[in-house]
Amino acid sequence: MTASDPPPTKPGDDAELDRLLAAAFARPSPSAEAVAPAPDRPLDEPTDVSDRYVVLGELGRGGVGVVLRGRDRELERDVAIKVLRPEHAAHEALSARFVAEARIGGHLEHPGTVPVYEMGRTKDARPYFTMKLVQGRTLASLLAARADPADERARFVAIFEQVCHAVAYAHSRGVIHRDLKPANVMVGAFGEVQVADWGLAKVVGVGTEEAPPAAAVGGAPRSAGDTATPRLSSSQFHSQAGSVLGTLAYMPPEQARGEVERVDARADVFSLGALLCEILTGAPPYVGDITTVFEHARVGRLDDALARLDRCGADAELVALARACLAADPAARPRDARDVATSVSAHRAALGERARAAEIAAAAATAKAGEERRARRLTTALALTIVAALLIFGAAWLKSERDQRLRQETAARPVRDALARARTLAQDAAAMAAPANLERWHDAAAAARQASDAAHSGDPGEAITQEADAEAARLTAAAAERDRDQAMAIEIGRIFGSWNTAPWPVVDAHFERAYRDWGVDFSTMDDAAIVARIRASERAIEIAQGIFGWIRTRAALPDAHGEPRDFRRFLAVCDGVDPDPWRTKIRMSLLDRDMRRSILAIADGPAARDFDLTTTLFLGFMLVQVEEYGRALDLFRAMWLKAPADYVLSIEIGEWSTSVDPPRWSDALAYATAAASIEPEIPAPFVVMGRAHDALCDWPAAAAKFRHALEMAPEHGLARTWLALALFRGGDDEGAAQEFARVAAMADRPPAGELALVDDALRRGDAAAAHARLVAALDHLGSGEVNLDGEERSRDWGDLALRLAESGDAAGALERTEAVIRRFNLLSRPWTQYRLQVTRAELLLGSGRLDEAVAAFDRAAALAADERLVRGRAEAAGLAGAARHFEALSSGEWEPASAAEFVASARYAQQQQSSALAFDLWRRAFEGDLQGARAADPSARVDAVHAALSVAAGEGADVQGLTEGARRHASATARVWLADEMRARTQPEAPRGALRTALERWLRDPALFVTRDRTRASAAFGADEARAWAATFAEIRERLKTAPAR
Amino acid sequence: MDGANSTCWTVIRAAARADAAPERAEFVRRYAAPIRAYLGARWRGRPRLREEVDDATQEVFVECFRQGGALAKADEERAGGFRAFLYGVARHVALRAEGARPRDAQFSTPGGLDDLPADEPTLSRAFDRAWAQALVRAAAHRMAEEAARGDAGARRRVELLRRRFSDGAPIRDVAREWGVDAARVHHEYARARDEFRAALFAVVALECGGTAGEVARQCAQLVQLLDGGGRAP
Repeated sequence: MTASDPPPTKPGDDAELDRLLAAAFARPSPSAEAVAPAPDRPLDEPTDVSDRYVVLGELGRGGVGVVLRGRDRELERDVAIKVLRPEHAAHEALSARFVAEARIGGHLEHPGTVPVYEMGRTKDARPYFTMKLVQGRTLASLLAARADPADERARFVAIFEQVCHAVAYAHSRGVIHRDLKPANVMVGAFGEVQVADWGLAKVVGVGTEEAPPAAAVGGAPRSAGDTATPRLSSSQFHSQAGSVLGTLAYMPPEQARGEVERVDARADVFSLGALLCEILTGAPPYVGDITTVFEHARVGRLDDALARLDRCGADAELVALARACLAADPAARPRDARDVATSVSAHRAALGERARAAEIAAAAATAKAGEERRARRLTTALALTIVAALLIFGAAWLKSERDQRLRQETAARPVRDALARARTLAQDAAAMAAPANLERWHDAAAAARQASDAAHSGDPGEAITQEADAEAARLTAAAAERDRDQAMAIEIGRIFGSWNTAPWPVVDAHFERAYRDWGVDFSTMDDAAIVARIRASERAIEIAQGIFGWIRTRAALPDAHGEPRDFRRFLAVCDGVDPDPWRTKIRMSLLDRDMRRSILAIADGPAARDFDLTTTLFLGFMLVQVEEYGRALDLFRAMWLKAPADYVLSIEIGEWSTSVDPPRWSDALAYATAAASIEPEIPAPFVVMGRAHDALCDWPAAAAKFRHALEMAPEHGLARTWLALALFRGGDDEGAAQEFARVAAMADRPPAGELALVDDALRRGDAAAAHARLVAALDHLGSGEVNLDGEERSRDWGDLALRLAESGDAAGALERTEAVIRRFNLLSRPWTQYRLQVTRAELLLGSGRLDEAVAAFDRAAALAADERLVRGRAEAAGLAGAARHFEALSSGEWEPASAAEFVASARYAQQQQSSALAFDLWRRAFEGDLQGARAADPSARVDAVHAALSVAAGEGADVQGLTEGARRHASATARVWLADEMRARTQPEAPRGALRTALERWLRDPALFVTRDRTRASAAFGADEARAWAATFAEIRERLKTAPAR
Repeated sequence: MDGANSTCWTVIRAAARADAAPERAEFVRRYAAPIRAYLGARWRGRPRLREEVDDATQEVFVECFRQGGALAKADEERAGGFRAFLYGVARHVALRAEGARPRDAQFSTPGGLDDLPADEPTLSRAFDRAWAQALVRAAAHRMAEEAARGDAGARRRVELLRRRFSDGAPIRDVAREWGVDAARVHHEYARARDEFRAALFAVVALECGGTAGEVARQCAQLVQLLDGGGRAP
């Protein structure tokens, strides 16, 4: 039989058929809807929005879009897919707003916002975007589940605080949400809070320095007309009455009246106040039927809400905050969500202080109650004696006994209730993951102390009083232990934050102190005791991870005799605490002779894709250790999609985004911002943000971030140095001088700080001070107290040594470099050895010891063991060749034959201070074979510009005879080359973001400094050239505004 | 795969293949309803588990699709057919979820009769009811699809059934709205019912298989299932 065959018999009679038809066409009832399957609804959504996603069901629908649950086939994870409703497909404004929502969401990279993964079009051309599928409940459902508004108030205020921080972040990016309400706040299973539904969000032109331009969010509508919300348009008012009601209840008057030009961040502040109002009183500011709510919202009639707030019994500070946020006049509200967040955070911190004070008082009360209890026991004994005498009056005694039992039972009831509450909270806390359960532990301890207080204020009986005391002591100790663990986790984060900046011995000392303070002392405890101590903690893995960081420090830190330290004991402890086989394998690679190969083998293996966060971090750290920065970054970024709220992951991505070639400054800024929002009390994210702002030429913002970091860590040498440099670059010479003075006064100055001080001394014309600083800095770096490994430190050495040579002490620089090579030859990484060899080779060149220089270059080239060193090898070989022919070249007896030879010879000539010769070689190279020279070295033209500017400024050993006209010509040529370079980087074949990279570099290139400063340029090249350079830099800044991002 | 014209076993066999993403989507579309209904009924009065209905529904499908999972082991000859098979998988997943939440019971706060957890026969009926509901809705869907490919009259007849059973509009009101004679609408109504009956027959035949007589019996049983009695086809 086939499907098209007619039925031989009819299924049932008419009544039965009616029943079937009723079931087939009936509308789902609201209760049925709750359990009705999404696919059971009319299928107006595609089951395949794209080849990548499978639709598994519908999660909900709003006025504009439908949210589906889907499966990402590529990443094999569930996602939420928001698709424009089919009836709006032809509605351009709604379609544009939908796209804008996705872009705004994609732009907001914060743990408190729902991450947008991808955007695209369905097979029927409707726009869609995918988001993280948030597992949890809406704040609306959590609030509705409370029996009384006073229930779990502390928990909801904590949630509110997180909402405020997320919205504050959005405000700092120039985005206002405009539809904040409990239904748009998701609370995850581990207490994480995310603000969802940015469908009505608006990008405003005002805001902080980080406000994105409209282009950054895909040209989101910004005109007044665009800001009218779809939910308030008359045509949709009736069809979406529910949405309007839900939204209006939290809406400020100016928004409800449709005064779109007045809607700014303070509109969100009102909605935050409305949310707080519901948390405190159990209902939003406006309640009633739709007409009432609509009218009250329009005129801001809040007398009912304010009266409810006044009698809700919450802390006065919270009530005052809610009242301030709900001011009908926007000007009377807090300025933005950050102000609200600050107030809530301050309130919660004050509560914590009060709770600690109460703990102390409770302890004192317990002691006092003990004395009273002893006195009472004495009294009871006496009473019993008397009662014994009265036994003859048995009836009276029985009555007394009954009364006593009744009194005790009455007194015991609140004690039992509080104890039960404390135990339930403790069970909850034990079931939750740390550190989200911290507050729950404190709630449990507080409930147990309440039980104890209640026991001592009445006479519930000895047994229950002892039980309450014991429970209070146990849970207070448990909460305190979790506090210690939390402080330790923060301390480990802080030490990791100083990882790339502080000298190894300092990092080592920090680790040692942190672990000793926490209760693990490697010098006095045996391994078993240490393992047991760590395993007893809920945060054992994190704490073991800290030890792993310590191992890496020790591995890089030679002992006083220059020998590697033994860290096997640390490894054994780590394995004891964390026996995970993959993490053990990763740790054991530290002992491998070819560590890089074994780490790469793990990273390339199929299992790496499924590593959890902890293992991924381990592996990433090891990739960094073997200088695979790009690989580590890729690994971290893939994991970040799964764990965006992890501080360590965020800051690692931020840090290493600055170290790849070319640096990803925008990424560094975004991830460091995310890290700062997770752990706002650690300076490292602010230092990274400062560096990113500095690199992006926003010096005031950079200085602000460095200052913020220094408020938390005044001894952060690099932050202080970079602050000084940012102030100097931003034109604040006086502020820079003050900061340089502070850097000079620091005991643990980083090499970069030393170099900055040298520059500062040279600018002031104090050559002797500069020389003394250079010698002292090199001696410090080479003393064995500091490990030279890592790009920054080996580059620092090269910079300091070459600067010392430039100052006339080439012999001193060479002697120190050779000594440090001997000292670190066996211990350093290949890249460090390579850099030191190149430095030595350049110093030999500068000293005129060409044969030795050639040999040193060859030795450096021989160290080029991987792809990344190929460029260095070519550069070294090229320079070696140039060195061999330099005399013949200078006398005109030898000519470069290829573009590569021209480039190497020109660069070498520039190193030899033969600026005029270098300029001539660059000019001929470009005239002869422009593309060839560019292809030989992408940075050739920038070096050429440097050479031309040296000639123009009269700097160099061979420029004395040049005329004023020739120098002006060199300046003009430099500008032409810059313009050529700008054009080349806008060609279709140029890498994406190449232009932006170049423009940013020119704006901060120290060699171009003289051309950026009108006064200096005028003095060096004359007024006409100075004007021309000013115009060039104006164009560079203008182009930077529209240059494609990397 | 043409989802509308595949028998349940075709869908199952196709979905059991490792590379069968579209088939799996079709499988999910067809069978999510009874699974959710069953889990929702089972976890009444257990608020924490209630929140996990979506995830557990997903788990049932994961259980079916994983390599060597339930679909690969599904037996066409098994007593009770596919319904019993799927019911078994859903029950297995439910038990597993309950095992992972042993303390849920102490937090349950029954608010009334609706919140009382159901016993196994009740749960089975909830599953069967949702199953029957899914079949009759699939029939309506099939009829609408065929009407969309047919003439205006066919589409009007679908609309007529919707007005009658979804909006509860009497035939004479519909006739007045459409500006046609009530007798003609009655005639159309009778024809629409026949078309629905045919669509339902086709859906049940494809879903459950069997001889024409068996299919007719299974159609008739749907009413009992919808009303909470009887056993599923």
